Amino acid sequence: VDTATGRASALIPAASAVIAAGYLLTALVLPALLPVLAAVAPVAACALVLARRRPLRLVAALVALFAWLCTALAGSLLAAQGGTGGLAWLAAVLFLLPLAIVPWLYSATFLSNHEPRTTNHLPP
Amino acid sequence: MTVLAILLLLAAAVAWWGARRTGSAGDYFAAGQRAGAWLVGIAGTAAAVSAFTFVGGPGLFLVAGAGSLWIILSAPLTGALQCWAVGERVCEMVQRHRVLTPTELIGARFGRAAQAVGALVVAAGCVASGAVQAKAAAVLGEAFLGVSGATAAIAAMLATTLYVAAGGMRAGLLADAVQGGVMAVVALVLAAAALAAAGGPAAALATLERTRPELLGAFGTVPPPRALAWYLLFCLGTLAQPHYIQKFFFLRSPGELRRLPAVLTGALAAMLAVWLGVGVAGAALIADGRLSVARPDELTPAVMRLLGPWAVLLAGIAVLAALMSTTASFLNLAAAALTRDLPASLGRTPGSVAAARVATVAVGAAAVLLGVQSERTIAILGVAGWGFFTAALLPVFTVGLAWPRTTGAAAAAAMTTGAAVDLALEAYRAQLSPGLEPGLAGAALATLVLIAVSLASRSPSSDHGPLTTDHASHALGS
Repeated sequence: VDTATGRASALIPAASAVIAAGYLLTALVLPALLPVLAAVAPVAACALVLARRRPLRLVAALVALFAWLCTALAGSLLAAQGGTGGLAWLAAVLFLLPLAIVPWLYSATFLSNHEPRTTNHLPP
Repeated sequence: MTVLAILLLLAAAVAWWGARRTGSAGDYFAAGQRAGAWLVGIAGTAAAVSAFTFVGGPGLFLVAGAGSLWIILSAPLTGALQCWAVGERVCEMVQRHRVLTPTELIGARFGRAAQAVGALVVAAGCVASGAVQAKAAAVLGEAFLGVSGATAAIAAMLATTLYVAAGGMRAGLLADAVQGGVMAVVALVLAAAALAAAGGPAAALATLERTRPELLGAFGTVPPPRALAWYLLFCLGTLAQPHYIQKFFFLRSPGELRRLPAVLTGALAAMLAVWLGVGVAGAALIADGRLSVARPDELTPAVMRLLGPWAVLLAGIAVLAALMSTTASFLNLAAAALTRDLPASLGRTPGSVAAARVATVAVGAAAVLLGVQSERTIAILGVAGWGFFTAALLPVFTVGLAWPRTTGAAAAAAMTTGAAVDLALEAYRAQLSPGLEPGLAGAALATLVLIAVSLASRSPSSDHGPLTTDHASHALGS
């Protein structure tokens, strides 16, 4: 087991447990905090790839994703009142803007796929 | 009736083509594992976009406004998300262990008990999800084709069952790709035509701004916690849908993943145009008094009738394509679960391709029986089916595959917990707090169970075990 796998061994269950318990808590008791979870959970799921490979630009791509999602969700909350602005924000920022950027980010970071990976936990 | 007759003839042709090229289990369940990113991306999107998008989506916009869009707003993210979180790992395991189905992969990683639970979950979920498509076919028949709902449901499911039973996913992948192309083009055309009929996007929005401004806020009439829960459910849920994961098994090499998110995202965005276009236009036309519907699911048919017979025909074809492409994957996955995974988990020889063909027909018949009897709207049925897979399979395909410490017992317990919690909460959906989606709640509890049982279990190295030689040879179709 190499260092990266060792870190993943600790981080994956810890982060997953926090997000899972966090969802139940926010949904039942603190619904005002659901936007935080809606920003964190998808990026955390994307970050599972870091258990396999961890080039700097992949980390940067995930940070950028998180920043975009935080901005998009915060704007949605501000545009919650009736009016075309809300629909326009959703369509422009949450849908159209990332439409080409996110697949490009994946493709760009996929180039580093051939860098050394962490060991696979399955026996050969 | 002419459309249905042509449909059955086309299905027979695809069935004949597929049957001639399907000689092994690898051909039948994984389309020969020779497909590239374009084929898998378009076919995968067709399988992902069901009649729910064409009929349920615009109907939901009518009552929930922009709030309904939170179901589809994660679309730009999900292509990359799937590849990052699950796809790369699945492709590597498919190459290494020659597994053919998602459930077989569960068996390879977590052992027989988990494979048995996974097979039961997939079989049950696929029958239920197939029922959603049968229900949509019934609506389609009554609204677009002028035939009884039962006739349309039986004809559409019979056609799909025919080519899936005969040609497996070799036929299914080809049919899905053609259907995906048709759906994307038709969705864009219908969305544009509907908005034009409402006076253009600006006029339609101005009408809604004047008459129903509550629809246009960022959350429409949906409480923000519920909209955000939908966002999470349909974003993270893509990592747990077996018909999504199945597409990774069709790729000829992991290198194809690089272009896959772009294809998935582009095709999906085109198909989702119908949700927003017909939804906004239909709501505006109703606000103007030019249209009236008794139920939300009637919105798309009503808008198409207003546009004219050409639109009714195109919409009918698109909805047929949507429901058939989705149904094809569910039928094949359920057949694999029943004839390969369950026997393998019991230590028996997996069934032959002939057995899978019989199982495909049986699953198709069960889906029709369930679907035409359901009284719930397509949108709600769609959310429920998606949530079931999310609750049962999300922890296993994300945390389970990525965390080396996960044990077979934990995977089995997590799937059981997720499925049970989702079903229990679905029964009380109306009483739940807005942010509590049964599928997400099930997945959250299942994740906690997965982690707790894994930490309490012995080392996974002696638990999950490698794929046996028997598994590998059966997977190769020998």
